[in-house]
Amino acid sequence: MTPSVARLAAQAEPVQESVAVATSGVGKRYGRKWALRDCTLEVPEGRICGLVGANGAGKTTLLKLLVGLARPSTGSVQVLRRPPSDTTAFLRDVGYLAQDVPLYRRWSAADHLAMGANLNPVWDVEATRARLRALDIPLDQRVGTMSGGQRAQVALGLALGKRPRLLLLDEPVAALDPLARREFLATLSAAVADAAGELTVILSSHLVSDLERICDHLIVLAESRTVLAGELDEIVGSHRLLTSAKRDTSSIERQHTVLRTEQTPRQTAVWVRLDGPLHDPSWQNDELSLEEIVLAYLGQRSQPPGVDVSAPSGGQR
Amino acid sequence: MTWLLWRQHRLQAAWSGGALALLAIILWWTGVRMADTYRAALACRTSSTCGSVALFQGYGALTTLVNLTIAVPLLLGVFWGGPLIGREIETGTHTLAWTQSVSRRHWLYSKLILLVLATMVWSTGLTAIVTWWSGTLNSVRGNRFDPGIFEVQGVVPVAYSLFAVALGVAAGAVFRRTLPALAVTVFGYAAVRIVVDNYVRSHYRAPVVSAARLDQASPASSGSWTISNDLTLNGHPVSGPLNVNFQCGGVGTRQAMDKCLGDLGYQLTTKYQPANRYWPFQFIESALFVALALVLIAVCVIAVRRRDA
Amino acid sequence: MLTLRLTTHSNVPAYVQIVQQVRQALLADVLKPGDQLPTVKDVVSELAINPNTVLKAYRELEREGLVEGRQGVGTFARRRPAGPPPGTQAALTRSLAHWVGTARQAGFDDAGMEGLLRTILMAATDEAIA
Repeated sequence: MTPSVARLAAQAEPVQESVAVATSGVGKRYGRKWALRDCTLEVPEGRICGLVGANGAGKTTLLKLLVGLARPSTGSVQVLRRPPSDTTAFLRDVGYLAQDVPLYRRWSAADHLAMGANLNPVWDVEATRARLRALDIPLDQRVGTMSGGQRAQVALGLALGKRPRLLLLDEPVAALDPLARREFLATLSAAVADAAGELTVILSSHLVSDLERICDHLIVLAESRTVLAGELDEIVGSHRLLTSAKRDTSSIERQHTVLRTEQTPRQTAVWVRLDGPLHDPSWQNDELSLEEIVLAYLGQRSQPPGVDVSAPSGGQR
Repeated sequence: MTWLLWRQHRLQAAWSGGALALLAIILWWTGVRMADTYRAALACRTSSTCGSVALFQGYGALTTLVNLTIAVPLLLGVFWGGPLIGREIETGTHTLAWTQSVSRRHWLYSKLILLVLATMVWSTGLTAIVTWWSGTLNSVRGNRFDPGIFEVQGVVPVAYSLFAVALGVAAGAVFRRTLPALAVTVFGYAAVRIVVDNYVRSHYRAPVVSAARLDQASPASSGSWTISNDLTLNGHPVSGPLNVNFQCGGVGTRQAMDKCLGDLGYQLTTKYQPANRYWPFQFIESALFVALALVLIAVCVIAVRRRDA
Repeated sequence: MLTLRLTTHSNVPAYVQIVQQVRQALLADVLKPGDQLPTVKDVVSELAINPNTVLKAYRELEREGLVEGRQGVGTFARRRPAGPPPGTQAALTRSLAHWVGTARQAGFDDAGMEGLLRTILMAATDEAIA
């Protein structure tokens, strides 16, 4: 575990909360290529956790490891306090929605719900039908002829119908128009509200604005590694943008974790995570939006050429 | 799981059931008539009341159809075996099926059991009808042991079908894409069958080799499988055209020619499998293909259970 | 039923926005003591935000004594916060809306208006203390 992630984890977690997902040094290799490595994180129960990262950063791999569709090459995974297994006892508690929302195209929504009722020991018939009806989704129409948003809602209903304790969603709204996206997230949030703390959601997405609205926990993956993990409020509260007239940044670098520095002829700007109180009032101290924070982490390894940037010193990885 | 299997495969069941029923009706209707014609021909022969009897005229197309059922196992392999698992993985719906509460193992075994049972039932039904229908022709032509006829009657078609669907489902599970699986199924099935037909089958038991004069009856009775007929002169193989104009040029009939050649020392060496080995050969070949099928099903199970989704 | 809205990209956290809107509604008599507040599920179905945000807001309102939660039933308004009577509230709202309209026409943007309000509030607080 990197020192920075460990610090955040220690700060964020109250001692007695139970943990829905915990990984330790998990890695997954396909042939020679590592899709995910050295991943250590914890997600407490009852949270809606966002998973952010560039394409190929390992988001899909992580979700597959959590549901048991793939097995880790190194490290361990604990989901609801046991490792994923190919058994009814495990699968009944975990719902999964793959990217591209695979459904049986020739089936109707009612067919899919019937499948859910037949293949799961617990199935909430009424709530699922009511949810789809409230969204004006016809139950007897072929799923292949529905819009992307309707298909996503059918798949979500199918995943929620078995009353899982953990729900894993792999970029479910990536291909949806803004209205369908909003409706999907609203349905998801309502289901979490209904479950009153019994449902944990991990949701991967590119759209930080969506995650900002609906998530209270965040994981950022960059180049197949976790670079940030913790409570959303805490993350937003501890990351700041410090600006001042051009000056040396070494005192900041010593005491806090610097993500990015920009030096122009007149100004110095530092993207920083405060690891303690900031004692120097000569810095102008502004908030950073979640999007800017995530971009700073994602951009750390690969700075664009042409920007006069000083390399962040040690203390962060 | 039962619900899922029915819902996914009910159309296939309907089509194949319908096709089998249709074929059964046609073959039953014509088969009865053929048998009646044959019985009448036998009866009139003994009582010498035959006019001109044209046996089985007009049944040419049907006979061809029956002969074409040799392709049925491959069709089953391509349409039933390949898509069963391969198509689900290709379209991604396996992540849907494997994340309900049914374990991957349970899903896989249920599907495989359905495939094997359905194949056995359907193939047995087809083979039974074809074998029954062919009964009359077998009596008349005595060629049921011959390549081309051997493969569509008896029990081997069921074994071929099991092999083909096992190959299809294993290819689908390993390659996870329709086209490669299809190619492997078609070429793999054809290759194995051609090799067994031409090189393996004649060796299940050592063929009988017997020599006889040309004017004697062949030692291979009706219903035997004649593998080869070689002409010998005083025990040595002869090939090419015979130059016997001097000795036997003047004889008139075929029978006299045969006697003349026999007197010169010509014989026919027949390598054959006797008719009473028909069923043993059927069972040996079936066992071979069933064993191959079992190996392929094991491959499929490993491919699905061990690999990541 | 009270409709809640959310402004993203605002400096004000989401739960604070909800607290403010409920307080405004109580001041304007849109929400009267005894009325039921929208359920957490209703709010998130409309706004697609995290349920904990709404819970946090309702807890804060409960802490201020403005609402009370009844187990298994819902959250209900309890009393009107200290503030101007409804008539004055409405008049002040109208005059502020008028001022905003004038300022916008003059070229003021939202950030500028918010900054100005903050400056004046701070000055007024200093005056009140002094």
